[in-house]
Parts: sequence; structure tokens; C-alpha cells
Amino acid sequence: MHISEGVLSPPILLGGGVLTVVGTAIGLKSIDYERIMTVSLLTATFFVASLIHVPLGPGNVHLIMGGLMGVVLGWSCFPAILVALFLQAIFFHYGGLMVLGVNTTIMALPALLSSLLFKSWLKRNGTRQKIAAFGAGFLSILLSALLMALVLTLSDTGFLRAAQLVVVAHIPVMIIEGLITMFVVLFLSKVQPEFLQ
Amino acid sequence: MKKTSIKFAVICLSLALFCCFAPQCFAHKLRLFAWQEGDQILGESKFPNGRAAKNIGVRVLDNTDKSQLLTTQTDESGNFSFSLPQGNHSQLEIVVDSGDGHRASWRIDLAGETVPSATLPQSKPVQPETKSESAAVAPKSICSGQGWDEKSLTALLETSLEKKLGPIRKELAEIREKKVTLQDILSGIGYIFGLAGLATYMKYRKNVKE
Repeated sequence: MHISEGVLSPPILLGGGVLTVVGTAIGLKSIDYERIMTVSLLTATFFVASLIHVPLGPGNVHLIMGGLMGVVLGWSCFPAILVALFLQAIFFHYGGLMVLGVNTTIMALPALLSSLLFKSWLKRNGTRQKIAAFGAGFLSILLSALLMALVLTLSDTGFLRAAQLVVVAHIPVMIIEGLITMFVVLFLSKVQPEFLQ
Repeated sequence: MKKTSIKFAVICLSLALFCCFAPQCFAHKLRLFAWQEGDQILGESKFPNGRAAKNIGVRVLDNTDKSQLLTTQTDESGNFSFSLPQGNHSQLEIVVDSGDGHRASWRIDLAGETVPSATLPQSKPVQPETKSESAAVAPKSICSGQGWDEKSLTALLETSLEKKLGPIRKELAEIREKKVTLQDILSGIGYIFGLAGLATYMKYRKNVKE
């Protein structure tokens, strides 16, 4: 899900950068003293999650953990994902520094949206919570894939082809992330409900 | 709160460590490398999980003026090849683009002219024994009479050397490709926790001032 350097046009890079700056500013404000460790733990999780490759689908996909980031962190998923992507760009050569803004937006915005969408159900117990957690994990990847296809289209690749490539490649990830988000949320709500506040 | 925090930290760290030792620790990007073999450029493009990048576009540019020289496509196993483009190019840039936002480029220095002029020292004529040894590579036409004519011998040496150098060049190209190491992963995690410490310190100072 990392777009490489040199694929996108400058206006899109700029737009992604602006969105990321705004999201990060709001996110940083929302981090209080007690949340710092939570944010950094999830940043570390996100940072290494992309090394797990899913050997399914036509291309090249890995775990993203967007849903989990959104559910646990809310707005602070922006700074968390920004830092993790920056380090991935430096250490793993995923994406790049110029496309950092766009890549952050592609992953953080859907994470935030899907967590807001399922917020009320996440606080319940039982089946509704399970559905909400799975939905958040699933939807965040789906939206990310669509957003990525849109960004690629605005640059030059035809939308249908880009959307097909990206969305089809991420179907297995959507399901796996949904399941992982569901299990982690269930576990956290039992062991440490304050993480989900 | 404190105890459960530690528990959660342990879980996250163990997940992180599991990821470190997961078998496929390669970069999430398109991999591309290319090497020269005689007057051909051969190349290979793959996804990090080892899957070939099939039928994707390959563009070849002159690296100095960025003009496009030719385009080709990878085959079913992600390989591609093209003959050296006409004209004087000191460095080529090869770009592959898979259409889903992944793109990789590779620079290749061209090793001068492919068949340099004959510069063999004028020494004793080549013994017939060497002829039989390299007969498999030698086209029949360049054997004339008992000896070798110097020019064709050079050409022969060139081609056979290129053939032997091909795999070595490929290996060198593979080594040049950057891979994710455990150090990368651990230092990244270290940076993240360092930032967390920094943030904690800043917030702490703010609290103290208030």
C-alpha cells in the first residue's frame, strides 16, 4: 500500500501533504500524557506489521493494521502512521519521503473514518462489538485501497485498472485485518478496556 | 493501570519480535535488477515475496538527458532483455512500473564498447592445444589455416568472457539491491520509543511549568 516515489504528480503530493499536516496537528493535540505509550506501541506495531507478507492474491500485499490504529488511537493515528511511514521509508525503502504525505493520508484517513463509523458499537459487548471491530479492520483497508486507486488515477493510470489491481490484491488483507482487529479488540476489552476509550 | 500497561507492552513487543523473525523480511516494493551480458542487457523484476512481476512495462532511458530510448515488457517469469541501444550512452536508467503504485528503477553503467579493438600483445602464435579447448565456443569461420587471426581471437575471447561474466554481474546486481535487515527493524523500533520518551519529557515539562 506504499506508493513509490515518482509515480504521482506534484499537486497530489501537495494535497496529501496538507491533509497529513492537518491530521497530524489534530492528532498530536489529542494525545495526552497517559496516551503517549499507547500511541508509540501501536506505532511500533504498524512499523513492523508491513513486514508480514500475505502469500495470497495476485501481487504483493502485507498487513497494515489501519483498522486497529483507528480503533485504538482515533485522531492520533495520523502522527503514529506518519512516524511509522517515515521510518519505513528510511529503513526499508518503502514508499519515499516525497510521497510521505499521500501515503499517510491513504492509510490514516480510512482508519479514522472507519473507527468513527463503528464507534458506538465498539463500546458494546458481544456480537455487536465483534462485528464493529471486524468492520473497522475490513473497511479501513477497503477505503485505503479505493483512495489509493483514486490517487493513482488523478496522476495517470486509468481508474478501473488501478482500482482492480489494488482492491483485488487487498481482498485477503481486508479479511485477515478484520479478523485480527476483532481478536485484538475482544482481548483488549477484556484485559484492558481503557485502551479502547 | 501500570500492571496492565506492562502486559500490553509485552504483547506488542512479542508481536514485534515475531515480525522480525517472520521468514519473508523483504522490502515491500518492486524489486528490479539488471546486468549487461555482451551487447545485451538482461534484467529481472520481482515482488518481494519472490513472485515474478509478469507483463509489466519496462522503460529504458538515457540517464544523462532522460530521453526514452526504448520500451519493452517483462515475460511470464519477470525477466526482460533488450539489445544495447544505438548511440553513445554512458549510463542507462531502467524503470519498471506495475500500475498499482509500485515502481522501481535501476541504473546501469555501460562498459564502453562491446568489442574493443584488438590490443593483444604480439606474442608467439597460439598453440593448437588451446584451439581444441575453446573449440566449443568458436564459430568455425574464424579458424583459418593453422593459426588464429588476431582480431577473431579477440572477438572470441570477448564473447566467451562475457558469457562467463554474465552470472557474476547478475550476482553483483543482486548484492547491490538493498534488503531489510534485523538492524533496520530494531533501530526503527528504537526510534519510535525514543520519540515516545521525548514526547513524555515535553509533556512533563509543560505540566511542571503549569
